Amino acid sequence: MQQISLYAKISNSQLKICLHALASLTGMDPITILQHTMVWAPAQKYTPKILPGQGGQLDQYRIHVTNDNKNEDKEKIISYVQSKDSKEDIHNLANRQWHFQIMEMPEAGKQKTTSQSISSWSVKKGDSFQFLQSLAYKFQYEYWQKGFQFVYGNAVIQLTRIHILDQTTKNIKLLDPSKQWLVKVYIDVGHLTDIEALNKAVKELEKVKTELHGLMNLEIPDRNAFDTRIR
Amino acid sequence: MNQPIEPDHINVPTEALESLRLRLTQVSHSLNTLQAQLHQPTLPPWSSLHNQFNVLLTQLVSLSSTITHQSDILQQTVTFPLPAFPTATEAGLMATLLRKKILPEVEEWCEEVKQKALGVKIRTVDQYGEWAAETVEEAKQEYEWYGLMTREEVDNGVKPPVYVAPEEEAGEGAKLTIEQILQFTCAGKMPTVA
Repeated sequence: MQQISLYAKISNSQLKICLHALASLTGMDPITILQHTMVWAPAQKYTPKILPGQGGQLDQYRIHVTNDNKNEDKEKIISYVQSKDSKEDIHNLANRQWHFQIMEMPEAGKQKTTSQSISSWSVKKGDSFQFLQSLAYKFQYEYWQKGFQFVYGNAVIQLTRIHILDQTTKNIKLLDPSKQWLVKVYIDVGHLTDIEALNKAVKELEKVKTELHGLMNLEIPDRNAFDTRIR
Repeated sequence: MNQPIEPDHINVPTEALESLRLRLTQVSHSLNTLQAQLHQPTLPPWSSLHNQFNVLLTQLVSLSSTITHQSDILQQTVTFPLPAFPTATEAGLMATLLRKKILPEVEEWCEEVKQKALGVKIRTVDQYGEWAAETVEEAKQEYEWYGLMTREEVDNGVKPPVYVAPEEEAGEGAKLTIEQILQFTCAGKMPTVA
């Protein structure tokens, strides 16, 4: 699928007003998000002989594996790194319903929004870690995203903060100690070739950007920041 | 010798004085009304005080422009008592009427106002407008506006939900850029805090 998105950041003190404004705008209460993401990378570097005209076409990509902890009480936060000490934990974690994503670099050139191809699939059942290992992928790092989500028309508005494992306290802590929030507004479109739907989505996002002007400044980040390839 | 001197009225600037007298009466009347309102056991609504104050301001502006308009004549005019004035018995009244120096207490008021005006940077209407806009914005920052409710909800006493940021233990630090956050999520590059 093709994902059209825009990003902004807001300080922690602005969050309350943003939540209230978005709740009024979208007519819904914010949905809390708690998402655990593990990033797996190919275990071995693939260095093919590049034939003329094939440059850049044989990149290796990381796989992002995400899991929504819908119910934090039932599904406690288990770190992959820490779960290695406990058979029960690793079994619990491996058998959660993981969602796999491989993300392409966003479209180059002058764009009104970030436009990125994403391949994704989900597992319904089974040990996802074994599956990844069978692909010759190995665990690289993990993070948690906590925050709020709104749906506005076709757009999804997410306000989240990235958390990482604190090795000393064994708890998760904020990646950004300034407590600020990352806002992502996105619309998923079926396919890159569906120009009509894409244009419609871009227009809709631009409208959201205008409507949220004053509350936050939605922008297009540098496309290099989206690079998930192995170098 | 004792013939009474006929006072010469021709050079008395009647018109200027009359217009001033009229405006001074108005101001004096308005001040009295305002003072009476303020001295009531219960204060009248602010809107009525505001109206009264506005009337007063208009009258003061009118008085001030009248004085400016007649300033030439008034500055050249010299007041003096006629020989027939009972100087001996009405010395007090004469002193009041002929006094040109400002009363000491009024002088104090003027000084006080001048001192206060030193700190005021607003000189023009435009500056006032800017100041007012800034002040309104500052005041707005002290409130949080939220909670769209229907009439029915208000009538039923439904309270709007209040969303609060989750408390996190984290120290203050440099703010990451969106790119730094994305580089971490996409490629695991730990941001280096400057």
